[in-house]
Amino acid sequence: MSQPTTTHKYTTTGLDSRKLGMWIFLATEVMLFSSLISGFLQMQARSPAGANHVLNIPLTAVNTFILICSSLTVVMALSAIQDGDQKKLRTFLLATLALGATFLGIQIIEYRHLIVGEGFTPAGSLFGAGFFTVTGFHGFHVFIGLIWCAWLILQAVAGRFTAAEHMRVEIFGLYWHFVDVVWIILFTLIYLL
Amino acid sequence: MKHVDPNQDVKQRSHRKPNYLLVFVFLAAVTALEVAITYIPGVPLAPVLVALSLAKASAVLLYFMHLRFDHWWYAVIFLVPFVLVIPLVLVVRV
Repeated sequence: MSQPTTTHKYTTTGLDSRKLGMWIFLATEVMLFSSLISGFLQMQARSPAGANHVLNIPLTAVNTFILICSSLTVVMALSAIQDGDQKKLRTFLLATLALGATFLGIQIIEYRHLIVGEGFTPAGSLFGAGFFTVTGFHGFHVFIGLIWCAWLILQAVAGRFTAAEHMRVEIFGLYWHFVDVVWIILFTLIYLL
Repeated sequence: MKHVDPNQDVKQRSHRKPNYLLVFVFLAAVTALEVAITYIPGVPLAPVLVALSLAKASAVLLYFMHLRFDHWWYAVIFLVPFVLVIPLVLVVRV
């Protein structure tokens, strides 16, 4: 087992302060997305029944599967560096970047189809306003995650991570998985119900 | 002053790794099930789909985010907002 080094930043609880900070941040994100979802549910309740009929469920199901795949590649990247495998770390982070970019690309295609093809716009209806706000915020989080992932790849190429020091990969993983969890909830609430 | 083990977090992280591939298969299978259910008439969609999505979210939190194996403080920090959030969502739905 790897021994902790002096570079670890422990709190008085013995927990790593960086990881603790990320969990506190994620707790605030829970409140942010819950507020957005509550707002969306309000708008949906005031919209005609079947307002989501314009949404493409099969395409979004594929996108959900892609995001789940990216969660697997992130956790495999962490597992690789825990074993000291630099090559696998880089490979899985690259796969995460590619999968995340694909998710975002499909979301852009979906938006384009809805706005241009169906005339379904944020200003067109309450449901549209709620849909674009919630999924847009989520997409923005994916975008931030992609920038973070690209930065981690550069760090990994430079050999900055080891079996003993990989907390930055773990913290990124927490963020990315959280984004996945949010999408799991959104997929059900917005597309399937 | 209370003694704190500086290795505590490292010890928490040295747990045996879960079968990530199995968790992934579970998530993919439940997603396929969710989509399939929407095409079956007569199924009470709301409770079934919410339960399935909560099962998926829990699997990610417990195994991919390691809440099952990490220090319980992380779970407490993450769960505290739900005390506020659940009433908020329920009030809005009424």
